[in-house]
Amino acid sequence: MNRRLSAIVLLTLSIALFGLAVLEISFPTVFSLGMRIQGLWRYRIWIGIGEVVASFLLIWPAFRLDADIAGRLLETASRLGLGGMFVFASWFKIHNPQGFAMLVAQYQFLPLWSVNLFALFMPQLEIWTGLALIFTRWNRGASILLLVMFTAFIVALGQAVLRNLGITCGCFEIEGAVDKKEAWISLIRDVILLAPTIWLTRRPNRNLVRVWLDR
Amino acid sequence: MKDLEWRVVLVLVAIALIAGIANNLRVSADKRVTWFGGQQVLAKPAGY
Repeated sequence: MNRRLSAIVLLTLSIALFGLAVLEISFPTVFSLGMRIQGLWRYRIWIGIGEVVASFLLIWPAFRLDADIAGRLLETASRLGLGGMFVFASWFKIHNPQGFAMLVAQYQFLPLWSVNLFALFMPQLEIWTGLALIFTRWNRGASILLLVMFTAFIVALGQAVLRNLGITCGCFEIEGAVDKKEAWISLIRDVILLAPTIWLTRRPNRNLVRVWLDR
Repeated sequence: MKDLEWRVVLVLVAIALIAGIANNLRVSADKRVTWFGGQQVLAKPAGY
């Protein structure tokens, strides 16, 4: 019982740290701890990366203590977190296809004729995949799609950063480019989020209720 | 990847395609896009 409780405490702490890191990296002006300290780098990316590392370090002992409960907790948190994030991220894009198409065009990655089509299709894929991950039993198919989307985001952002294009991620809001750091930070966030996504593709197909009911 | 996973992926892609088309018809004219085409590439912001 003590081992189980310890595993739950460690994993809860790990999940909280990881969530905080992703929020800080995604919404630095709202969440960044370093914003309150004068003279530090605006986005405090190192705080976020440190939290991610600490979060990963806590997972290992949690699984050593009780792999069963740790697996269930981590699967629930990963599916709710990633699914919720994709639903949230798609919202503004669905309501403003024109604005999102403008952001996509700045990447100069797709053929011009396909930019508008992509801007219509991609947010829908994000929202339906996010919903499928949370509400259906098709965990593997949905997480494979998430993995494909993350890989595409990383390639698109990476080429834009390397070509020094004036882009903004356009992940959560329609806004103009601010500086190059922002694109780098979005890239780092997407790479970090690959870890739970890849882990989810290895989990069995079952809905979130079954995650807790299955023996 | 198993057959089942492929089917889930294809179903989600199909739903996204249909919903994307429906959404473009639903939104107001100022937010709508032409089916085939792109957008203007803007100049890089100063100091970027």
